[in-house]
Amino acid sequence: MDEQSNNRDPFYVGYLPMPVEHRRFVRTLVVLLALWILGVAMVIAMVMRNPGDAVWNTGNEQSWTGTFTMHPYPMLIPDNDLQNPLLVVSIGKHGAHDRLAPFDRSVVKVRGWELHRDGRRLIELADDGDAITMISAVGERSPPRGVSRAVVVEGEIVDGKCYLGAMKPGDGQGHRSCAVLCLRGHLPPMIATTQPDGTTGYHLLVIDGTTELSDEVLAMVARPVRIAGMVAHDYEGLSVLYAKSEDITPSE
Amino acid sequence: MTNQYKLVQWNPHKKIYDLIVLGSVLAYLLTFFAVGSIVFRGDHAISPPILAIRALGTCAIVLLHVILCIGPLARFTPRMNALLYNRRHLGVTFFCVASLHALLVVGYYGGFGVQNPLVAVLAGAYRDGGVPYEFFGFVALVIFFVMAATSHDFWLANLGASFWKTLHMGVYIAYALVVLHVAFGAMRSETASVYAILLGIGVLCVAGLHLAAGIRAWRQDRKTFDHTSGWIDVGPVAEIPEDRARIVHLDNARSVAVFRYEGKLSAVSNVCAHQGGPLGEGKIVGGCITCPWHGYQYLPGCGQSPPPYTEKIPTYELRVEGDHVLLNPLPKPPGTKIEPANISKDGRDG
Repeated sequence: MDEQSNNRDPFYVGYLPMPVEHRRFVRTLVVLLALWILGVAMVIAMVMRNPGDAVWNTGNEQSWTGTFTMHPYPMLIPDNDLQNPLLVVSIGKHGAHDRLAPFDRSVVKVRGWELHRDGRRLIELADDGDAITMISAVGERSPPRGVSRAVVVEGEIVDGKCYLGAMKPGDGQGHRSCAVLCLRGHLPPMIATTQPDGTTGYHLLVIDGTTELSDEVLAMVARPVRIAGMVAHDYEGLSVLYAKSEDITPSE
Repeated sequence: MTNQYKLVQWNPHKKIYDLIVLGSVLAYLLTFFAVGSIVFRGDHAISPPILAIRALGTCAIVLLHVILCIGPLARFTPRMNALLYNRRHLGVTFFCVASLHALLVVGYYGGFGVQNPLVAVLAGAYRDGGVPYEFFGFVALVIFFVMAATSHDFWLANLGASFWKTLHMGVYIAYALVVLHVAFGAMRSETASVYAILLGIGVLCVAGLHLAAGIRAWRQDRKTFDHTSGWIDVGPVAEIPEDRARIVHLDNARSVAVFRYEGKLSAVSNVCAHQGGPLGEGKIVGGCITCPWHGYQYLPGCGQSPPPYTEKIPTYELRVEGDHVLLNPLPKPPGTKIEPANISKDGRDG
């Protein structure tokens, strides 16, 4: 087929030269498609939800000295900030219960990386054997006791590590399977609540008096829930919500 | 055509096509990543793996919509055939992008924990009683895998065109699953109405174009000829352009392409043996009937692909009475040689 006759009665065959009319059409279409595709990429990327200002200082290994407590979750009460304990977890989606249980109420020095969000802080312990150094076997300090009060809060059950910066965003439906996995791995559960003024509040969660979450509770993770329970401020900077699993209900 | 199987039978068009596809995918991913990193920066930065998951996922959905729109658009204008020609490469590219999205999701959200990553993402979601949107995505990806793995002509020839075509209709089930995957997954986390609007436009385009193409085909199929009483009049010779065909719908399942070329007329099945392309919308190129979809060729007098190729299609008897073409609606076995009907200078049987 000669090119001239094919241009008179244009017919596209993949392995032959493209007719002029088709070539013009395809060029225009490809340019328009490319512009549309890039436009879609820009729009979708621009309107994503702001993940919050959580920070994971992976590049800055730090040391803290203080007293460990295992209750309600592994925490370090720093010597220089007794009212703001730091949650302590391991690398990956694992809690630090097994590593820290022998140090309950001991004064220790720990190494790791800090995660923080809105003033709430968490330590990811370094993985090597000397990440925890015992200073004295049993600390003198016992945790101060705050007053409990009954509350009903609405929000989303999240795992403390991702929400405080390990993943951004560390909440929402897209993060659900990760949050469930983290909580199965004994990372501390929290409920993130949004206040009427738009600010976010946090309560550490203790359900049914244990740190193990049942499948019924895990089914509520990453969904809007309402929890009725008792809030205790054992420390100024940490509120813990004690509740029963039957008092957690969907709020959708 | 299927003389021998090569991984890819490259030609300049395929190379340009693939370069444009790969360039577009890279441009999309880079744009998404760059814009996402600029808009959300500093303490508000989105984790890079999550940005990558979103870039790959949304890129895959955009590609899927383009793929699904090409087919019906090609029914309206043959100029779309240039995009249709190498669509399977677009499909395989889409599958690779979607697979990377899934691998990152399983590795990042399901990894580093106390369970097998795949189990953590799939079984957990299913067991916990919510809408298992991860499961929808997984099943869709399995369907896309089957389609990508069988996209080569080797499978087309060995599975048979009809079964292969049915198998690849699975794309519509997979598409529905992808829409559910997005609606119950990402769109419940990302609540900006732009996402719902874009997905809605995409679904409307795919559904609308398929509906329009289906109505067009149905209208054409309705114009059937009564072929119960022997030879049928398919119209004046003069209405068939040189090197082109007139399509005759015998019934819903069968149609015939009557080609005019070099002062002769020949009739063959309208269905290409390769992927069922509409041969009657093709053209005589180099003395052969050429399919508009992938350029498969047949000799008009016998319905056989020129040697060394081996495809065959049914042929039909024709004769010219007065200035009209008459067709015997009984098909001859594929590859049967039939003398073309000659056209005299005044349009009568010579």
